[in-house]
Amino acid sequence: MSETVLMEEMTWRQIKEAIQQGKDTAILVSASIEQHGPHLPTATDTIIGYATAEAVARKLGNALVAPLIRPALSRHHIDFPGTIALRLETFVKVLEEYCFCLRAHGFKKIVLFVSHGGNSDALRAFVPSIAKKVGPDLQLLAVQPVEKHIKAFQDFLKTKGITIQRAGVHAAFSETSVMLALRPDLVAMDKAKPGLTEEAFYRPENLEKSKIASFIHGVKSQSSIGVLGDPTGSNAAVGKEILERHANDIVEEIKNNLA
Amino acid sequence: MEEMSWVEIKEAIERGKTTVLVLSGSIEQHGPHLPTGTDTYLAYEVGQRAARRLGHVLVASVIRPALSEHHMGFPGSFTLTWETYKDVLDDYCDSLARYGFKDIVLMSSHGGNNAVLKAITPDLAKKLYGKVNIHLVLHTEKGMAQAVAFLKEKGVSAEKAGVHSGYGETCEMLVAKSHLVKMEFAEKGQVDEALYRLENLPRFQIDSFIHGVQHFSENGVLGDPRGANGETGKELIELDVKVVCEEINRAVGRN
Repeated sequence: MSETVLMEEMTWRQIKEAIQQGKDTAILVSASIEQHGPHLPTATDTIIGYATAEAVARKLGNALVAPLIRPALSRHHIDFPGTIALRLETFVKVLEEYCFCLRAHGFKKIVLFVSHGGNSDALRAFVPSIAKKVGPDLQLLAVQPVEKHIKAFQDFLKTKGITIQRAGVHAAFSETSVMLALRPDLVAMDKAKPGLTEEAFYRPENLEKSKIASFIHGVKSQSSIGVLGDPTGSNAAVGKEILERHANDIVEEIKNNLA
Repeated sequence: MEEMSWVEIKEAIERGKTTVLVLSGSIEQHGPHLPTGTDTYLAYEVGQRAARRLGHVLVASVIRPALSEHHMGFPGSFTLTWETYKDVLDDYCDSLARYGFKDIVLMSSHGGNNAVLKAITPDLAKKLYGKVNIHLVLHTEKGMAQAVAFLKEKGVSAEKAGVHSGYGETCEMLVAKSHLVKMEFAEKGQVDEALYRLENLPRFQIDSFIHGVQHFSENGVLGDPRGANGETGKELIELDVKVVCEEINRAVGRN
């Protein structure tokens, strides 16, 4: 097995040596602990976040993965047991304190992205002010806002004959397929059922409105089982490809934006 | 809980798992032979074993990073400020109070969190009074005294057992995550006997907060992990789980 890129699995000396040898980029992913329907575990975004971050770090070759941030912004799922939500203020402080720690250890760049859509707007809004606070020694780059990722897997799944309302945005075909590729032991396909499958909800031009509705009324008002989309027929091979494409998109964006 | 679906969690609570364990771990240096996630892995290990034994307990996602300012001299350590740590705990409790749990038990697998945890628990308990009972279980002191006594019988001194990445913790990690333990890099750290006397530990702790752990140990080890083994680790974990179970039951009134 190749050497781990997860900082939490490494000793301080391994981390120190890795930084000295030029691994000057830290990957910082914001995930969630929140309900994912009757068939997926509450750590779904965390599991997918680690896998994505690991893939990105290996492709970059000069990066280590920081302990992923979870719980985070999941207020819209709070009606479902097991969801843990941070307030926006708490989340931003946690994010900021991570960045200060990473600066202290000599990282030069932090790449931030989300494995949970609900965190995406907060990164967009607060990374600039955090960047200003941490100063010129550390470059912060937030990549792949959630809309971009949704658009990418919608387009890809369309080529496989999967509609956007089936692909979904939460605990549906796309996410369940990725989980089948990563942790099939935690997926209960016999409990997978369609949730909200109204096509209009998932059209790219409506996603902003749909998201705001989730936050105002709670996801429970949109799907009583907590599924936005349809997970039935999910497929590990397709999931693996979604993950791979996502990691490639992130790497490409990083290479285009970081010197 | 993180491996369960919301439906499973709901049903478990309805069937009587009405206690939720919120453990604080850490992400901090653990010498040249243990990973920075050590406290977090041990929190999951002990928490899950205790929960299985007790039967009325679910385990929430372990809080990490937490309070590790004294280890920030070593790459890979992460710390929150205590204000943020309090906010995180506050948000955890506020979320968990909604689901029908009767009791939230706060615990820590990392000594550096204990004092602040003790200071902020009354505030958290007051805020959710009438909705859920919040308890604090500070098992570390009792657990450590017990572990030291146990190891002494085996001929392992208190300064070898240590308080951070020493013999004791390394034995436990050989059970919890042996593939992340690098015994070939295990080195002796700080082994001044006087520092580890129970009556001196509070002073030792304050000094390590002021000066940083690197002031006491260049390699980050407080104790001596050499010779650590999984057999002893199993017994240490068992001792710890036993104390944790007793303390949880006492806290929630299930003696």
